[in-house]
Amino acid sequence: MNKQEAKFILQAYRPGSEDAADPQFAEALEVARQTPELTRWLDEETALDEALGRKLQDTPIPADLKEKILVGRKLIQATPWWRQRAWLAAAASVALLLGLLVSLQSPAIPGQEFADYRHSMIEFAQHRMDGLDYKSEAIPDIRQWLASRSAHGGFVAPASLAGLLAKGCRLLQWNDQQVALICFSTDAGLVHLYVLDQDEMRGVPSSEQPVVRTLGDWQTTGWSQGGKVYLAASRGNSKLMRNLL
Amino acid sequence: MAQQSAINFEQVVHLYYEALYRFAVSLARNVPDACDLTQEAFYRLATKGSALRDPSKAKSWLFTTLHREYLSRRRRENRFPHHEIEESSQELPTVSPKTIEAMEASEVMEFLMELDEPFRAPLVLFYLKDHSYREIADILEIPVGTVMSRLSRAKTMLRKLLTRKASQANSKIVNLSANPTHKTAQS
Repeated sequence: MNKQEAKFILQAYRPGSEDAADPQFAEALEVARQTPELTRWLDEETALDEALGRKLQDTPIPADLKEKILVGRKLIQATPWWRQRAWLAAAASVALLLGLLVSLQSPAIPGQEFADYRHSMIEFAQHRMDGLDYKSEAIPDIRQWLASRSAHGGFVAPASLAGLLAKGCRLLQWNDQQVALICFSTDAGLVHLYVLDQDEMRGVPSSEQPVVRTLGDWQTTGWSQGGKVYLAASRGNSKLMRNLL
Repeated sequence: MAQQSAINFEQVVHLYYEALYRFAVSLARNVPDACDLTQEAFYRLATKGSALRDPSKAKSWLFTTLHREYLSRRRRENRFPHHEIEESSQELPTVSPKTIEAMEASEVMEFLMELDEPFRAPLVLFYLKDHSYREIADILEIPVGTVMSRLSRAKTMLRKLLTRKASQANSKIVNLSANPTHKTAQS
């Protein structure tokens, strides 16, 4: 290894790091030790690297970042083993076999509670809503965008929302299910409309009997229609929420 | 089991979120996008339970995921200006560590942000000292040799920027003190 090669390698050298054990660096360091000029250069180089590294480590971290990350974790409940793909495939095979052999009425697979879903969406709205994936004021464009991602492009908005100006949409994930969030603008603030497939969810209100609830300073209305669960949420627009459907 | 995962997640957040954010802000060039990228990386980690089984792997996984997400967004938005920095000379300009010490952290970050992403990313990871250069290669998904050469070029570019800044500061001082009109007006 000549002096120039050693210099090139040592530009990536950080004393005290695990790199130091690398034979490539060991050889380059040996060349530097035998060359006073290179030793001097390395001292200057590492001193400057140390100074720059310290400044980078001094970059302030937003005070609420850690909290936001941890809140985000709470929105995602751990996937139970019986919903994991491998287990699901195996369970499906076994269930099929059992179904052929015995005509037992199998117990219902535990589903999700609508109340939990509502709580998670409001937590999201409060702490993690920081923008939209797609911005458009036109509902047809939003439908198209969602449909191209197989994400509830055929959602049915109540007439009271359909007349509002849209802001755009965003995709979320809740318990391995895709949730579409469509955002509307009103004079009294934003209205979120969350849509996901009903599947095995329990406690879902019907469109005939929508459920209006207040969570903190958010008013919500939940209902189901056409195999989909709808949740509308707004902060400070209780009148609209009460008369949504 | 679920509680164990939650504890691990919190530990992983505690260990890496600061370094991850610093990497993110150097890439995104602004605080809101950096926060978003950092949260996105952890969000994905939370949805990929398997990565949590080995916290040491989670670190590289987070940095790789954040970098991929940044590149993906940049491709979509194409809104970052491209800066060409002259790098003809292989001789590095002299910059004293004292010059750096006298600067604010935000000022140093601004200089780093002027480098193009292919050079900025390895240099920031190098200075953060959280990864070996082989890990940096894995995170950025480039060969080790490319990391070395990009580091070398990035250092040259950064020092040129710092030297330029230092010379501009010096020239300002000279101009002020040598301007009798300015002096009279102030007195």
